[in-house]
Amino acid sequence: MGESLDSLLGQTLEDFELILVDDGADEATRAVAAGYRDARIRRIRQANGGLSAARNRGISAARGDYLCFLDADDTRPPWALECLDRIVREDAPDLVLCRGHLSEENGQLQPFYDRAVLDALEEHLDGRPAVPDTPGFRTAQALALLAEPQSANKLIRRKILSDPPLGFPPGQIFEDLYFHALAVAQARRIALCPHPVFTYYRRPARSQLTTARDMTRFDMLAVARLLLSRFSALPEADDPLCRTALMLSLAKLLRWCEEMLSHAHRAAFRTGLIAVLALADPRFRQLARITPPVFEPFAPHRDWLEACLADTRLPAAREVSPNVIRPLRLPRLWPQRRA
Amino acid sequence: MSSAPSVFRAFGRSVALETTGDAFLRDDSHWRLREIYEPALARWRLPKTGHAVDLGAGFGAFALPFALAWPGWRVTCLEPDPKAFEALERNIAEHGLGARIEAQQIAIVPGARGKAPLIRSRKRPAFLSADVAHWQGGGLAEPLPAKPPEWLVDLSADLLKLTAPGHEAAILEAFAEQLPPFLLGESWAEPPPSRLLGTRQTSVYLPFAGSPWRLRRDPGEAHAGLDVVVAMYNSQETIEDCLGSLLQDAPPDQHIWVVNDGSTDDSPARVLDRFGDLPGLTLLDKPNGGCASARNWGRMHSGAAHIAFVDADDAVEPGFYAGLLELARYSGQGAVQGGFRPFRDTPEGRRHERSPDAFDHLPRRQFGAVEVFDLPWPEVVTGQPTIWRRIYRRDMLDARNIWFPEHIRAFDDQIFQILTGYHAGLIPARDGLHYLYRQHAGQDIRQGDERAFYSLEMYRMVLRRAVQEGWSDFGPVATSFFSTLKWSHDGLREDLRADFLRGAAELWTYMRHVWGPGIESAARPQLLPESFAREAARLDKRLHALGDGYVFAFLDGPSLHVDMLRADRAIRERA
Repeated sequence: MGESLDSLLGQTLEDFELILVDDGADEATRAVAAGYRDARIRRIRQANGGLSAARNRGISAARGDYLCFLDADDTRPPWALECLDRIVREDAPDLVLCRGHLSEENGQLQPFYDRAVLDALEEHLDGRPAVPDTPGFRTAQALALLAEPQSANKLIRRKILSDPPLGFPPGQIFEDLYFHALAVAQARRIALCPHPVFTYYRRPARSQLTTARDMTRFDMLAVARLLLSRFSALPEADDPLCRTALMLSLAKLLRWCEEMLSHAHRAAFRTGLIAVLALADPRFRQLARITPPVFEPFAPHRDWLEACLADTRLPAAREVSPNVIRPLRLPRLWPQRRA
Repeated sequence: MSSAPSVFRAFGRSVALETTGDAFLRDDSHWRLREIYEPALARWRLPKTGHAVDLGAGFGAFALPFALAWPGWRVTCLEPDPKAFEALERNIAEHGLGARIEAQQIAIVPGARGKAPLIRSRKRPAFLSADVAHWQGGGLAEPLPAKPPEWLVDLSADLLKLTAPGHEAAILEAFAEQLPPFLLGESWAEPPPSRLLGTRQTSVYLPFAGSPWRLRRDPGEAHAGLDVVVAMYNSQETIEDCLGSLLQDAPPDQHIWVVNDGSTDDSPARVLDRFGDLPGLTLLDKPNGGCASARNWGRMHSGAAHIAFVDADDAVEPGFYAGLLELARYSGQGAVQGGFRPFRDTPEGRRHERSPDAFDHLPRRQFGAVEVFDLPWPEVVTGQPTIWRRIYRRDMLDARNIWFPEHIRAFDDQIFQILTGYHAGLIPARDGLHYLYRQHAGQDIRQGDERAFYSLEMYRMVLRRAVQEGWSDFGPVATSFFSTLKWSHDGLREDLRADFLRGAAELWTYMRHVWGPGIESAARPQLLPESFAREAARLDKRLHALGDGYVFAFLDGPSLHVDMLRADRAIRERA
């Protein structure tokens, strides 16, 4: 955590507030935190309520016009906040998506997973923020939805989180995608920061997601259910490309979860997944036929998703759609013969 | 007139002893060795040498095997009954232990000088005791040679084996919290208070007769005592009464942690003015974060083995937590509870109402002068949340990872009640002592706003935990779920009811798919409008082909979360 705090306190832009949420940390971690005596640090302490609860606590404590998140094991380069500040002044965006770096378990450094998607978004935006009711807005949203859901990769205008209220789903650990997708949908001006502003560390020995126990991966089902349900009320759900981007992002995570599970749990997970699809708005079963080339790497996820949608246990779409008038059923005139 | 010897097996050897011929005494001696003395001595590490005092030695069923197993120890036997004493002396001589075992024909009776009366049981003539009617079943007083407990203290025993029915508490009091390093025996009438254990390291094994309870130190790694966490937010009118009542007849090792949850009124100043100098009280300040966060804050800052949570507008009867702490220590259970009485402030002063508890169907038993009973966990889970009238073992809360969920801003005690209830299993309780629960109009439970949806989120949390932790039975939770739905729905604002029933039906559908059709016997859908059952049937139809399974505990819905519900409603209104 020391590295993380150092990277923030060493920013070239100095006018910010650092909200440090102690989520039931152990004594050693608290001692490290107590060693930092910078007037810009505001401390909040809570019993171990999970990452979502900690970030929500931070959101409700925030006072600035914009806010961003950083987990205690990640870092930011010294120029990060200065670059973001520049974009805020030039474009007045609601949401800035950012590039970052990935530090592999062996220490190897490389651009973050979603470089290709952000390249496409940068080309699409062409230096101007995306705004509603302009031709490319939905495409920009779709590309943003396809970006890696990572909490460090965005800067958000605080106001858009209060109307309607948006936070991380409490108690679940795949909270990033939920927040990411709804923030993209809620933002009216979307910009991109061309410079990398965070480094994400994959660490072998830590109990990050990747090493978490089986049952925590089932939380992904709850997140999928919540996200699809919330998203279906938004106009973006009517746009085939946005819908497809959302479903592919979801499929990527769901599939990863399923494949990380021990075999004993996989059938149950698949059942849960079909239940989520059965409860979801049937529009989400219709994926766009033609997608931009940047969707190409998601093809395996799309295949996997289509296989799930073809599961025979999934009731036919017309049976679940609340808007369809049911066809008149005529009574059978004679009992069906058995073979 | 000696009778045939009986072989006693204890401490790794078999010893033939002459008994008095009384079958009860012989069998009781066997039982005592097997159930009390041997298990305790098997566990303790006695030094090579020492002085043991065997009070109520009988014919020597403890003293002789003990002396044989620990050859470096000296034993003093005290036995008032003439027949038993004769057999004892013969046994000592028979085994050639005269040099190491000294026998005296006396009883230890408080205030005794020369002779003192003991009651000889009519049904079991070998049973001599103080006047404990329900144990001896009546009998005649018999004057016997006796000395006072102070004389016993002067023997400075390293190990005291105590069989003095009805006099244990008074005898142990004489040691003034300086008990011998090893204390063994049983207590019958008045359970010796746990404070007698003092601070000196004493190994004690002193069960309370007729129960699995025993005198013991606080469990776990934490230091002994009770932390009372008082969550305080703008409570200037009530906090002084509350703290004053907690200090009346408090247990000596109680510490009060007043957590000021960012009050904007005078309450912290009042606490400091009136109680600031007390060593047993600490005022903690934190930024406002809600009742759950204040309770957790107090827990995180304190460290005693037992903990209780009190609301700043309530009070307790004098000695409330002292009485409960005794139950907690003797029983060692994860939680113990006392009674409660609601009250209202009126211009004429407090008006107390009757306790709504209905536990008359549970069998009672005596614990000294008080009546106690065991509350099975389903009674706790289906009951109204009353978390403040209990004492919890801190190590249970820690090991089960039970906290107040801080993002839940109302009714957070519901989930705490269910989780602690289930994990405590059996909750020892007494109802003569009361927590006093103030009723007023501003309470959460009367608002009828979106906060009712917090209950749905909490029952989902319980469902998920029950699956992960492998709960033996979910029926009581389902029953409690329906009572909560009914109660919340009745008080709910009209425009919120449809969303509430939709969320409730979704969660109920998940519960049914997790536990199967068997859970339906615990359900009470008839308490709710018909739209609940319709919605549940609609969802069920969609999920029908999927069967039942634990995975449904991991599904979720936006109507189960207050913030998402608010967002969805805002979006709907705009459209």
